[in-house]
Amino acid sequence: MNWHHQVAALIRRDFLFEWRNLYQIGAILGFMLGVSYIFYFYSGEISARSWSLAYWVSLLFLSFFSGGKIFESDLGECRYYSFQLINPFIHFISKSIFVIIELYIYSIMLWLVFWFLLPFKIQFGFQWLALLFICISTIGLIISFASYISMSATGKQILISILSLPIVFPILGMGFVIGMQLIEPNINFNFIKSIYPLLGIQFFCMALLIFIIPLIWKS
Amino acid sequence: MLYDKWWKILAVILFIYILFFGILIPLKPGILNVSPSRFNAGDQVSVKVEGYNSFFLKEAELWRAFIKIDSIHSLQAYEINVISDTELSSKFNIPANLPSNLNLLSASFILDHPKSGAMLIPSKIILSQDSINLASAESSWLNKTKLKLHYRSSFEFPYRNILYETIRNTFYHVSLWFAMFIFFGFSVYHSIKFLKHHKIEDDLKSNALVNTGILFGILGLLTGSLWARFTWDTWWTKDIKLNMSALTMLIYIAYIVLRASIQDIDKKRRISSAYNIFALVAVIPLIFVLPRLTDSLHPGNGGNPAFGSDDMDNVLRMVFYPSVIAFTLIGLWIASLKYRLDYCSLKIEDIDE
Repeated sequence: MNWHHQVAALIRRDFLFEWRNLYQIGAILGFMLGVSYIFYFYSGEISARSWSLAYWVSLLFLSFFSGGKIFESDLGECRYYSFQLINPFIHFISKSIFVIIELYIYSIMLWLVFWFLLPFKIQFGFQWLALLFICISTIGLIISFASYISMSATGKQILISILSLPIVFPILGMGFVIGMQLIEPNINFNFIKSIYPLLGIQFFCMALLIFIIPLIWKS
Repeated sequence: MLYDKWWKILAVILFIYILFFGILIPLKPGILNVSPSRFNAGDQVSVKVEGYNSFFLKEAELWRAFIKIDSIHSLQAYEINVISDTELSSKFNIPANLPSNLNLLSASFILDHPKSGAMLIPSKIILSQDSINLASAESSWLNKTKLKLHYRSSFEFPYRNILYETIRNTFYHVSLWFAMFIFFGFSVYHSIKFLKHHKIEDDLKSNALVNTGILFGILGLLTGSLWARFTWDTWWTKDIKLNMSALTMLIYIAYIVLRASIQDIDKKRRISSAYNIFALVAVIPLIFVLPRLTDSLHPGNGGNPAFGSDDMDNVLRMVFYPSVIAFTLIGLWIASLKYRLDYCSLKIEDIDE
């Protein structure tokens, strides 16, 4: 079995487990509805700034809820398979891709829920989806890394937040600023130019993790 | 014995040097305030100037005063009366028209003396006009010969508006950050060495350096906050560099939390070393890339020059560079003490077992 077949099989397995634990998806949906309902109920006349802030903060919590436990779930029934039989690097790549896809789906769902309860027209839908993907893929990588290194620590959930929040914070900040421009565009706004730093950070993270992950398990 | 300790002696000497010269070297004379600062075209005005570290009474007749709009348009005072070493008044006949299409214009105020040199307070004067007549304005404002100002060459720190005496904080605040990055860099070197060779000493060195870096980072934040209180009138702002620096500290505090939360010693060393590499690389875009992409109050960001002639002159450099070396050496000393303490604790634990 080639490495990419292994990665694909592991991603499939993770989606299958996710699908079997339907209550988790229900809980995430409940969270989305709950949060957006709170904003709908209490915010009144909402501005583009508040909408964007509410969206990105909700997405941050969503990322921690769904991405924080990805490695912990393997410590149970699949422990022997996940940590002995397959290459740890392939395990990490598959988990990262799974988290990115899952978070991307959740971010679009959150957008739809927000659109239903807090309707706000985003001028450039395609750019918005591209922005979401770039931000989510970087956040997903960072959360996967934090989850991987805190697997063997005590107080995992808090540790994941402590490890990933300071690094995720500027990415969310940039997402928030660019997102606001997509809602109420400025004359000088150039989407392609504005996402360069985000792309830079993303490739930086990828390159770094490719270098670091083998160092952790190679002993 | 001296061979081993030369760098510690050097650290102490340099530290005394920066404390002594950093505090005792005076600032160059400068203009603290001018009043009034708002004039209408056609007015005959008397401007009162408040000086700082100035000696207006020395060769008082040689003082010249100017209102400067741009590199070619300026107006010289026709009379200057020196009141005291720190006070003088200058009289101007503001022409009936300004050399601009705008009704409001900002201008700088300049005092010049052959020995004290030129002093400037930028954009302090506001000029207004009711009617626009560029042709008439050009004849009265245009400098046919370039404005020749004197330069004061002395062993003094530059006088900068807003900063005043706090310019000395450059030797502490900036040097602490420089030293912090040097420690983080060295700690990554030891982390990589540990991950390659699995020598416990490397991990202990890396940990000691990160802890010292965090201490210096916190001191850098505190001195920065104090500086901000004086210059920007607030303890904390939304300035990007300031907030990214705070995030840097959070990233490294997470390193300490990570180390404390893993029980297995071998795993703790391996994972924290890997995180240390990740942390430094994650910090680089936060501190060096993002602040350059947006507006920032810090020099070197958002288009502001860093270490240019506007921010730093050669006298400042004479204290600044030694201060970077002094703080780095003192930090290395602290880190070496921490390393030796941890190493001894480890040996004692081994003996107990």
